[in-house]
Amino acid sequence: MNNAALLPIAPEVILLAGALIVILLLVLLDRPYREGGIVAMAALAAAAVASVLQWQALGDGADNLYFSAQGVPVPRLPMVVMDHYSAFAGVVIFVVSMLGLAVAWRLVLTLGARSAEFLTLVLLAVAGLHMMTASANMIMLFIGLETASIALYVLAGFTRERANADEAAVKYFLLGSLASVVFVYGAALLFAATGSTAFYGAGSMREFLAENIVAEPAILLLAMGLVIVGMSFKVTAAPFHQWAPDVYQGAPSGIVGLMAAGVKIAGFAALGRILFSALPSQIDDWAPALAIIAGASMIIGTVLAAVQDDVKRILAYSGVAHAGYILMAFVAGNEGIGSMWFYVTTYALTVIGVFAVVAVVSGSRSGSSPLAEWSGLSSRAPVLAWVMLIMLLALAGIPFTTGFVAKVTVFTAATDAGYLWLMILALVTTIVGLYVYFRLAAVMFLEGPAGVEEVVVPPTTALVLAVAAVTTVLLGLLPWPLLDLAREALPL
Amino acid sequence: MTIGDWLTESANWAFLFLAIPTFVASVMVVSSRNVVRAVLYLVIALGGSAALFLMLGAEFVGWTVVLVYIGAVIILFLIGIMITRAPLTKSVDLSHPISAKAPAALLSVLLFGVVAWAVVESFGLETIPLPEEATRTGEIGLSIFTSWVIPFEVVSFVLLAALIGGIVLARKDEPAEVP
Amino acid sequence: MIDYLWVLIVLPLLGAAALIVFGKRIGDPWSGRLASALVGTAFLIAAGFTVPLVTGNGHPETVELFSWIPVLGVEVSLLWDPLAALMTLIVTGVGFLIHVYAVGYMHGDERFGRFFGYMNLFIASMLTLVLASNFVVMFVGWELVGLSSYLLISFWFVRPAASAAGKKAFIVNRIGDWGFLVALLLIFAAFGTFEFAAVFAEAPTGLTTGMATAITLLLFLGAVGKSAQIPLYVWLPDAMEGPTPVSALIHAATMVTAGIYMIARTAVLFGLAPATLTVVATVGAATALFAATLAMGQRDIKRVLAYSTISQLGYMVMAVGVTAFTAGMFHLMTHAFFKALLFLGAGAVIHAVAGEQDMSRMGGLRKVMPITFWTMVVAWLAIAGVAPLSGFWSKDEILAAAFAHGGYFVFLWAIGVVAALLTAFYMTRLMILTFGGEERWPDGVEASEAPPILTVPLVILAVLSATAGIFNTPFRLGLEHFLEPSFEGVTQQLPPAGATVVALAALALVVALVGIFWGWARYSRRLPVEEGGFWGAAVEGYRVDDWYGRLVVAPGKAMATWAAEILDGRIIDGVVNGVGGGVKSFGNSLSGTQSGLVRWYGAVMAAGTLGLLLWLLLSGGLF
Repeated sequence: MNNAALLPIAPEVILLAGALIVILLLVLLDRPYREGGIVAMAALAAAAVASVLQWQALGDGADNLYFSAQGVPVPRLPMVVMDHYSAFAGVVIFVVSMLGLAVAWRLVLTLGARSAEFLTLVLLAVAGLHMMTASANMIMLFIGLETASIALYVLAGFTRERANADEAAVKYFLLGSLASVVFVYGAALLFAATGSTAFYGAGSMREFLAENIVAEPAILLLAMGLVIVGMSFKVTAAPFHQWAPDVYQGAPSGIVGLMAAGVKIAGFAALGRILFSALPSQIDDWAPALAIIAGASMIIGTVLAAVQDDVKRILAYSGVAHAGYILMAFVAGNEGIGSMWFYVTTYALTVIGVFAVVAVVSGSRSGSSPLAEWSGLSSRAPVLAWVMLIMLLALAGIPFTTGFVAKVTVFTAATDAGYLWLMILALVTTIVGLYVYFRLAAVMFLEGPAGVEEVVVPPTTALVLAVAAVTTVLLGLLPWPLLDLAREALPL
Repeated sequence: MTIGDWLTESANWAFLFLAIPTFVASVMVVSSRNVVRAVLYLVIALGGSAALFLMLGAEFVGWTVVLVYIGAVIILFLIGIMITRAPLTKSVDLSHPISAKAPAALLSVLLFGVVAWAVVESFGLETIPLPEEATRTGEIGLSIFTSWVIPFEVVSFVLLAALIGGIVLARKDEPAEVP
Repeated sequence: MIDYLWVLIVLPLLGAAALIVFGKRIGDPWSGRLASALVGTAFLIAAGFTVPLVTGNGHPETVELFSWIPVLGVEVSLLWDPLAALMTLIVTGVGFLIHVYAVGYMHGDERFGRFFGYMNLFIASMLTLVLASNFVVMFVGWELVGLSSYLLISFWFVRPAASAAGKKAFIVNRIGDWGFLVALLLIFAAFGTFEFAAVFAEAPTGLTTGMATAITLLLFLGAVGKSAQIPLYVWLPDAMEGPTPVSALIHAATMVTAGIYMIARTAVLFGLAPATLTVVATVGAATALFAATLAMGQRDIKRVLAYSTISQLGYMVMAVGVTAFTAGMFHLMTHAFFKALLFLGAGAVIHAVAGEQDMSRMGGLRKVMPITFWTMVVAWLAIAGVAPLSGFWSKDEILAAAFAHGGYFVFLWAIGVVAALLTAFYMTRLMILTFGGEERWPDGVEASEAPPILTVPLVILAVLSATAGIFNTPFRLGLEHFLEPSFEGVTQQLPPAGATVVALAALALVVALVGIFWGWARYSRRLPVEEGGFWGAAVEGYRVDDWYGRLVVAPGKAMATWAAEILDGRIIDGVVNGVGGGVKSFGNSLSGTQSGLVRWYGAVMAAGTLGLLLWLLLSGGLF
C-alpha cells in the first residue's frame, strides 16, 4: 500500500487522530485548554491541506481512487471515493469549520476541563460531515451522518447550566433520530429496489438503474422519497425544518454557526452524491419533488422569519429559505452542481460571519438573542454593525455581494431546467425576504442603543468577521475564480 | 397465489405464529400505561423479530438481536427505570389525550399503508428465493474485515462520540473562569 | 472621450466612499465642499459630452465596461443618448445647486460629513439608473437610489417619525420593485437579453400584445412605487421627515422622476400596449387631481409641497400615458427647477423661523426675506402655469397632448385642467400664508434673510424656472428635436396645431389666473378658519394610511401570525423559555418537551413525509 492509496481517507484520518490527541493532552498536560484548541485547529488545517492535495492529485490524472481493504478487487465494493466533488467539499467544510472554531474559541476557553470534550466532538462532527460527502456507499454515508449527528446533538446541549440548552439537545436528538430512521429506511428500500448500496462500481445502484428498466418503480419512488426526507431534515428544508429554530436558539451561540453552516454543506453535498451519482437516471422523478420542497422552504422560511423576535430564530428560518434556494440548483441535475457549490460555499461563509456577530452581541454561551439586544448596535459597535449589514445584504441577495451572484446562478440553473415557476416564486420570496433582513438592519442602525455596556470583539472572532466580510464582498464582485472551481467539482 | 395456497405452506403458519404475537406485543409497548410492562412487552416483540430473522436464514442478525437487545438493552432499561425511581404502577404522564392520539394514529396508519402498498405493488407476486443455506456468521465476519472494514472502523468513532456525549451530559462540573 | 462616461458615476461614488468613512475627520464645511465640487465636476463633464448631441454631430453611444454575468449575457455598459444626457444634466446640475445649498443648511449638524456621503451616493446611484444601457444595470441603480433615499429620509433617525418614514418608504417601494423585477424576468423570457437596444429592436415584431401588456403593467407598477402615484404614493409625504435639501433633491427634483424616465426609456414597449397606456394616463390624471386636493388642506409647508410633487408627477405620468413622452420629459425638467426652488425656499423659511413648519405660524416674511420671497414668487408663478414662465409651457404641452389624443382622453384633459386650477389655488395659499399678512412667528424668533450660500442657489434656480420654457415652446420645439434620437420608432402624441393650441393655452392661462385670484380673495385679508369637514380630512390625508393599516397591513400580519402558529407550532418565540425555563434535570426537561411540541414537530415531519411519498407515487402514475 503506497502513500497515494491513503490519500482518499487522509482528511478523516487526520481529524480522528486530532480528536484522540486532544483527549490525550488532557491526561498528559496540566490544563491544556488552549493547547487542545491549537491541536484541533491544526488538525482542521491539515485536513484542508489534504483536500487540496486530493484536488491536485486528481488534476494530475489520479482518477477514480476508491479505498477499501487490500485483497478485495477495488471497484467491486468501494467505500470511499475521491473525486473533485469530495475534495471541494473537504476544502469548504474544513475551512468553514476552522472559522467556526475560531468563533467558538472564547467558549472553548471558558469551558475549562470540558473543553477537550468539546473539541473532540467538534473534530468528530467535522470528520463525519466530510465522510458524508466522500462516501461511495449508502452505508458509509449513513455512518458519516450518524457520527456528525451524534456529536452535534451533544454540542447543541453543551452549556448545560441553561435549561433550554438541554431542551435544544433533546429536541435535536429526538427529531434527528426520527430523520435518521427515515433515511435508513429509504436506504434499505433502495437496496431492495436495486440490490445494492454502492454508488459506484460493478453492480452499483447506478449501473443497475442504467441497465434495467424498473418495471414496478413504486418501491424505488418510495426509497427516493424517504432518502430525500432524511436529508431535507439535515439541511432544514421545509416541512422538515422545525427543529432548527429551537435548536439554534437553545445551543450556545459560539457553536451555532458551525452547526448551521457545516451541516448544510455536508447535507447538500451528500444529497447531491446520492442523487447525481446513484440516481441520475431517475431525475424526472426526484427533481419535481425537490422543486416542491424548495418552494415550500422558500415560502415557509421567508414568512416565518418575518414574524420572529429573536435573531437566532430569524436566522434559522432564513436558513430554511436558503435551503429552498439551494435546492433550486438540484432540479437542474448535473448542470446545477456548480451553482449548488457556489451557493453553499458562500452561504456557509456568510452564516459563520452572522453567527459570529450573534456570539459577540449575545455572548458565546447564551441561547436566545432577542431583537432588543441588537437595538442601536451601530452606535455601540459601529464596525460590528457594518459587518453585520454586509452579511445581511448578502443573505438578502443584494448585488455586489456573494448572495446576489449565488442567487443568480441558482435561478439560472432552475430556469434552464424548465422550472420557471420556481424561479418566479424564488424572486417573490427574495423580495419579501428583504423585509426580514432590513428589519434587523433597521433595529441595529435606527433604534436607540439597548445599553451602555461595551461590546467586546475577541481577536479570533474579529479575524473571522474580517474573512467573512471580505470574501462576501470580494467574491460578490469577482465571483469567477470560485465559480470556475465550483463547476469543476463534479462527482464521478 | 390465493390465500388458500398461501395457507397450505407450512412455513407461513410458522410465520403467522411468530408475527401475530410480535405485532400484538408491539402495540402493547406503546399503549401500556405501565413502564415495566411496556419493557416486558418489548422483550416479546424483540424475541419475535429475532425469530423472524432466523426464519429468513439471517443467523447472525437473529442472535445479535437476542444477545444485544434482549440481553443487554432491556436490562439497561429496567435498571434505568429502577434508578430513576419511575413509578412502577400506571403512569398518567405517558398517556396523551385522545385528541392527540387520533391524528397520530391516523397519520401512522396512512404512512404504513402507503409504504406497505408500495412494497406489495413492487414485490407482491414475486417469490424471492432464500439462500440455499443460512448465512454463516463466519462469512459475515470475513466480509466485515475485508469489504466493510472502513465502515466498521468508523463505527468505532460513532461510539466514541456517543461515549463522550454521555460523559458530557451526565457529568456536572462548574466551568472554569476565563483565563 | 465618451469612453470615459463611467467617470460621471465614479466621481460621486468616490466622494460617497470617502465621506462615509472619513466624513467625521474631514468635517464641516470641507466635506460639503468636496461633495459639491465632485457633483459640479460631473455636471461639467456631462455638459461637455452633451455638446456633440446638441450640435447634431453626435449620436447615441453604448459604452461597454465589463461583462458581469456572462451566463445571462449581462454586460455592465452605459448608454449616452439625448434622453440620458438630459437626465444626467438635471441630476448633476440641480444636484450641484442643492449640494451647495446644503453646505449652508446642514451647517452645524453633527453628522455633516456622513450626510454629504449619502448625498453623493444618491447622485452616483441616480446616474447609474439613467446611464444604464440594460435592464439589469438600471435595476441596480433603481435599488441603490431606493437605498440612499432610505438612508437620507431617516438621516435624523433619533426622531421616531424619521425612522418610521424611512421604513415606510422602503416597504412601499418594495411593492413597486417587485413589479419591476418580475417585468425584467418576463423581458428576459421573451427576448433572452436585457440590453435595451436588442429588446427595443426586437419588440415590435417579437412581442404579442398580451405579453407587452403584462410587461408594461409590471414596469408601471415599479414606476408607481418610485414616482409616488396612486395607490403607492403614501410614502412620499412622510419622506419629508428628511432634511429639506434631501426633500428637494430626491423627493422633488430627481429620484421620484425615475419612474417617468423609466417609462420614457421603455417607450417602445409601452407603445405596443395600448391598454397599459390607458391605465397609465388614468392613474396619472387621477393622482394629479387627488394629490392637488390634499395639498390644499395641508398646514405644514413641506407637506403642501410633497402633495404638490405627487400631483405634478401625476401630470408627467399622464403625459407618457398619452404617448407624449417629450412633453413628459419637458415637464420633468421644468418641475425639477421650480420644485427644487420651492423646497429650498421653504427650507430657508423654516431655517428663519427656527424650525417651525406650520404655515399658520409664519406670515409676514416678505419684508425680512426679500430674496427668498422674490425667488419663491417666480417658482409660484411657474408651477401655477402663468405665461411665460417655464411651468406654463410644459404643463400646457401635456394638457394639449391629452386633448389631442381624443376620445376618453379629453376627459382626462378636463381633470388635468381642474387640477391646474387647484394647483394655482394652493400655491397662492402657501405664498400668502408664508410671506403675506401679519407676523405669526413663534415667540422669540428673530427671522432674517438667509445667508448667501442659501440664496445664491435660489436665485440660479429662479432664473432657470423662469426661462426653461424656451427649450420647447410651440414656436420652437428644441427639446423635441433634441430627444428625437432617443424616441426613434416611437409614435408620439404631438400637441394640436394652429388655433386649437392657442385656445388651449389661453384657457390654461385663464384657469391659472382664476386659481390665483381665488386664493388671493380667500387669504389676502384674513386667515380663514380651516377646520373640520374637507380641511380636517385633507390634513389627515383622507386617512388613507389608516385604511391601508386596516385593509392591508393588519390582515397581512394576522395571516403571518396564524401561519406562525400553525407551522411553527407555537406562538412566536418565548415558549422555549416557557417550556424549558427553570427546568434543570434531563428527565424533567424531557417530559417538558413532551408536553411541549416535539410530538407536534414529529407529526408535521411525518405528515410531510406522507405527502411527499403520495405525491411521488401519484406523479409516478402508480395510483
